[in-house]
Amino acid sequence: MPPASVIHAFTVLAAGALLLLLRPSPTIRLRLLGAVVGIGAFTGIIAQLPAFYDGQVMPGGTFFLPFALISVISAVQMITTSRPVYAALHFVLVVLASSGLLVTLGAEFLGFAVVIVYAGAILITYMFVLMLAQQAQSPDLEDERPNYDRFAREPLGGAVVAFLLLAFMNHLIFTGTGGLTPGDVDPIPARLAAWQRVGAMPGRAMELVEEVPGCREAWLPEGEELLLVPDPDGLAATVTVMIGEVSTPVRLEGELARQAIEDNIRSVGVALIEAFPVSLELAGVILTMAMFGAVILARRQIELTEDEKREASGLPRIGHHDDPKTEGVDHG
Amino acid sequence: MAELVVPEVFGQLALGHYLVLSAFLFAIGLAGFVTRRNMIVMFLCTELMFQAAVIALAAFGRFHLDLSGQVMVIFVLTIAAAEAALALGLVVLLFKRQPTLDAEAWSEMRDA
Repeated sequence: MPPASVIHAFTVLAAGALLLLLRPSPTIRLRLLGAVVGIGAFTGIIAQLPAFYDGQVMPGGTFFLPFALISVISAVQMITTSRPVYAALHFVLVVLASSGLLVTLGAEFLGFAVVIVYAGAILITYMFVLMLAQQAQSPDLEDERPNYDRFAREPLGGAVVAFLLLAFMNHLIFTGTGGLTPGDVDPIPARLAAWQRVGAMPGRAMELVEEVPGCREAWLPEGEELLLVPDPDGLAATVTVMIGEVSTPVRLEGELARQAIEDNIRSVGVALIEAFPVSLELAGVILTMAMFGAVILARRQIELTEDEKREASGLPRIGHHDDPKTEGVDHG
Repeated sequence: MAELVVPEVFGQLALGHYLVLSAFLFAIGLAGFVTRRNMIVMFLCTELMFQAAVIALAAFGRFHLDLSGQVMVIFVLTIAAAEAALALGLVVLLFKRQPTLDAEAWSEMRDA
């Protein structure tokens, strides 16, 4: 276990680096220093983690650091660039890198879903609104861009608050659950649960049975439940099917068993429907309500008074000294 | 055939690797939300925090060999989509009132 002070020191370094990078940043040299210190601090904290494990190799380890660095660097660029469109594009990079991380975690379906939903749908919406709301042309010169993109609000406060939270989370990770390695959890209950999901999909189970040599003609009697009994260690299972007119037990083992229980998309689908049916319905309701809400909000007409219109187009107000609206409130 | 040599530090992963990355992304997103003044970029920063949550949930699911983590990510995606639609609708509405994306243009409360 690394001493807590080392991790906190790295966290403070990262906070300082972010402070150097946030706008308005003094010089290119200081920003470069911030980038180097920030990357160093992140890699340093990651390098403290091996204290945890004892020889278990998780597949995808080689890809972790590149993807992690890409996502953290793009995230920092996203919050420090003065061009909103670039911020959106950097966020796309974060999404792509984290989709790579999801694939290393064995969540292939989510890897694709995140790219499709975030990069494909949500970010396009953001781009539309950005283009809609952007001033006529996006100036190339730094000084001509709007002030609210060039200057950060409370850079010191923001960095301190965010990195206090980070220090706290790092403390929890390093003293708590962070040391979990792939070998620490008993895989047998998970395999048995996976077989149960296969048993809940008779069509899929029959597809697998037909791959077994000599079982091409296997069939399931109409209206009967599939009988699938996994071995106690979950590495193979026995399915009872009809071949010809005889009820025959068929073993699913080896490569077929691996295919059956490591089927990400089908497993996630069954887990979603089986364990969270109400949440799924609620998610649908939320999406529908959000759609109605967005349509109503966007269609609402704003009534501007004559003075506000003149103000918005840069003309002086007409004669009145008092705001007509507050006047109305006084008499009413 | 030369085998790709990776320093041991980065070849083996514990849950902590993913959690530290997720914590970093969340902190950066929070810092961005507090310091940026452009309303659209502020909402992009909330999406960044969602992304951090996605990585943490998927990592917990993978290391505990439980699919509920991945199912939760699907719900996070749903909420993110709903949030984006509503937030951008609000931004468009505010932009119609005052043609600027500056969040500080709305720092004064008044009845209107």
